Amino acid sequence: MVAGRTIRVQAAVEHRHLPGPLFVSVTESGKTAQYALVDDGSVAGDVPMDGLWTAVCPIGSSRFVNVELGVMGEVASQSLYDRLIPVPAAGDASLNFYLETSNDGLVAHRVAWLPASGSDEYFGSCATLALAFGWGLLVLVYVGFLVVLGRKR
Amino acid sequence: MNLSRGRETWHRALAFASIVACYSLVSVLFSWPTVRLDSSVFYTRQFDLYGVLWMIRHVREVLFDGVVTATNFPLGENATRPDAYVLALVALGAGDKVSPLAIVRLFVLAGPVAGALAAEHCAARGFGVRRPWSLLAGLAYGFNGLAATAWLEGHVYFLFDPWLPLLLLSLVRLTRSAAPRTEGVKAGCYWILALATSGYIGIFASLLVAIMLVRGVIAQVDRRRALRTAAVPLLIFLPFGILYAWVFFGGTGQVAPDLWRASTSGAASIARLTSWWPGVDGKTYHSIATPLGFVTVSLGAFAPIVLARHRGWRTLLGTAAAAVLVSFGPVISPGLGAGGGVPAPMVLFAGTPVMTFLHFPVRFLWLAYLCGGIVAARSADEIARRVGFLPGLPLLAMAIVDSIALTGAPFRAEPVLAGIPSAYKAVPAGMAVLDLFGEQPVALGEIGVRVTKLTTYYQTVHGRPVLAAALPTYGKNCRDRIAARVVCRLLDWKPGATAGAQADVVDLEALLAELGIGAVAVHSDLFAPDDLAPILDGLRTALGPPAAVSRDGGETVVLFLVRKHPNADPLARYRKLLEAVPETGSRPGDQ
Repeated sequence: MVAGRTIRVQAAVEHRHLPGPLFVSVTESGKTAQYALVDDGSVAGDVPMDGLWTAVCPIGSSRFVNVELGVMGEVASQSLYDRLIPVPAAGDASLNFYLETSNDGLVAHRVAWLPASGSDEYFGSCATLALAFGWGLLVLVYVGFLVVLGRKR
Repeated sequence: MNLSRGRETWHRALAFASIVACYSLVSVLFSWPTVRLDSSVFYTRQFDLYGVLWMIRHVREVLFDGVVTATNFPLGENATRPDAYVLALVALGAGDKVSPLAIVRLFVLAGPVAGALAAEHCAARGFGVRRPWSLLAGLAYGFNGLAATAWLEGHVYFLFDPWLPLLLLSLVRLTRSAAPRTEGVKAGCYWILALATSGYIGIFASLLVAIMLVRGVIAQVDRRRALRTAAVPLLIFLPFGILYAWVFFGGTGQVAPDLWRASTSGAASIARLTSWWPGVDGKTYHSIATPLGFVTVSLGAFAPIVLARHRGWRTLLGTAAAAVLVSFGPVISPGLGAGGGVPAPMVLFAGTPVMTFLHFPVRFLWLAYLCGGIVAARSADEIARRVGFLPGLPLLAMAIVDSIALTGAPFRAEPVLAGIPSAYKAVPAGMAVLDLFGEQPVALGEIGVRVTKLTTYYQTVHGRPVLAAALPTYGKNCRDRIAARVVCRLLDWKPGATAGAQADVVDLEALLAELGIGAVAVHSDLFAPDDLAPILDGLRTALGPPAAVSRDGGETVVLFLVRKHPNADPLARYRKLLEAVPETGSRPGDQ
């Protein structure tokens, strides 16, 4: 049930805002492995140069893994996020970040999903709700149509 | 004559079987992939299910003793407010041979079907809605956002609730002049069962009784007779209601440290009433997406036009609208963390003791789903009378889309490994286990609460007493208090440390034995690598080499046994330890 699991780590940030390469360190059962996030299309499902950086990290059977997202600097690397996260027992997990530039450098916000480069979770959630409202409008129009039809008969 | 009666019975049975099949199919989709009955995993999203599994496993102690000695050792866990009596009675009846996970799966798969059948029955018999339009009421009540929330958060006892619709049906019949005398008894029994399902459902049942009886008294010419009718369910319910209140108020439960925050995080918002979205399960302890369903909302919105010449729907629509308003809690907010919003009626109770018991105002939507669903079904029935059967049929398909796609239930469930680390097998039976998992839960945030509850789930499988508590989300338990002191000693220790720190580690085994602890389980995945090494070194020095190391059950667990014989009175030593090393930052509800 747990064989072959992966964590897909994605970070949305425009190339020009990135001071150095992005990396993710995954620690499971005391062992740490580091992966580079890329935006060159070499990872399955990644669209080259769209500002969505991706790494697919294989994991074992643990319920929890520690994930650190960082950016390499000229002198030292900067840690943007470092936390223990629960992962599902089967299937692939995903971990998405929206990176923002501030006076202190890059700041990572963990988000549920990333619809496109340069868009944050709020936009993504609003897009989902807009889709639901579209469905609602369709239902409302159909019911309204039936009501009007019924009054004519 | 007999032939036609037999045929009618056959037709009724066939119609009922078709409805059961239809709702069962929706239930399979709604709770997918629960129906696969894969014993290696179970499906949930948050961590409340661990507490429910714990309650099922320890149901006898919960019901008859009020204290479970196997968790929060050595104090024992306070279980004086079990709330979910229906689930507890099912677990008691099932006995030890049925696994707690099997009971949970039964509630997840069959519970919504039972609720939907009852709501459909109520719409058809109580409000004269023809089939198949009455199915809309069942879909709205059985397969809604709150049902998805109950499943994904883990409080599955809410899922088996046919009582509210059955109570409504009995109340409708009672307010008619030709009601049989037994109807009052039935209403009283359904009222009791609603309260036994959950305190919240009991409150909604009481509101339903009040609303329907006031409406009945106003509508009837013979008011004295109406009041006499109302007295029967009240007389049936009252003894149980008093007993429940006595048990509830006599016991103690957890209190949220910030009632305002608790009541807003457990409240509806415009976004939550619309649909689920990918972030809804992410950042808090909750998985609350409670869409009203656009078929229900649209048919309800047109009800004043479609049902203008009919009676008996205005009270339901008014109840549904009021329930939606109350579900917002103190503020009608847009949701999505956008802030803002306007004060809602519940703002009058914000911060008052009332909110101690109602800090999930979103649950008032159970009333909205029931009453709104019946109004929607009546509207659909009336529309179909006018436009014909076929044009109305897409409404049923749309309602199923609302139940599955808007709640997003099958897309949000996550598999959780059912197996536990095998290292626990090395602990002799009856010996208490101290689980160490890094920092204090308060510092770890949600992960801390999740792991605390996970170890109590492990307890239901391995059977040894553990120091973690299964129920409280707030405050500290025995594990937190003892682990903090043990971890401090271990982190201070290293070869060449001060004599005091060395002595602390050398004395650790004696301390653990005095506290009645027979084993220490280190959950090494949950420690920062820098902390893990001194902790394992310290434990090796104090307790010798590990008795077992396991990497199955989703974790690496290093288990050490305490070689000294445990103390017969660990409670006194525990209290002495707390007095000797006082701790700051305790909050109400700490045990």
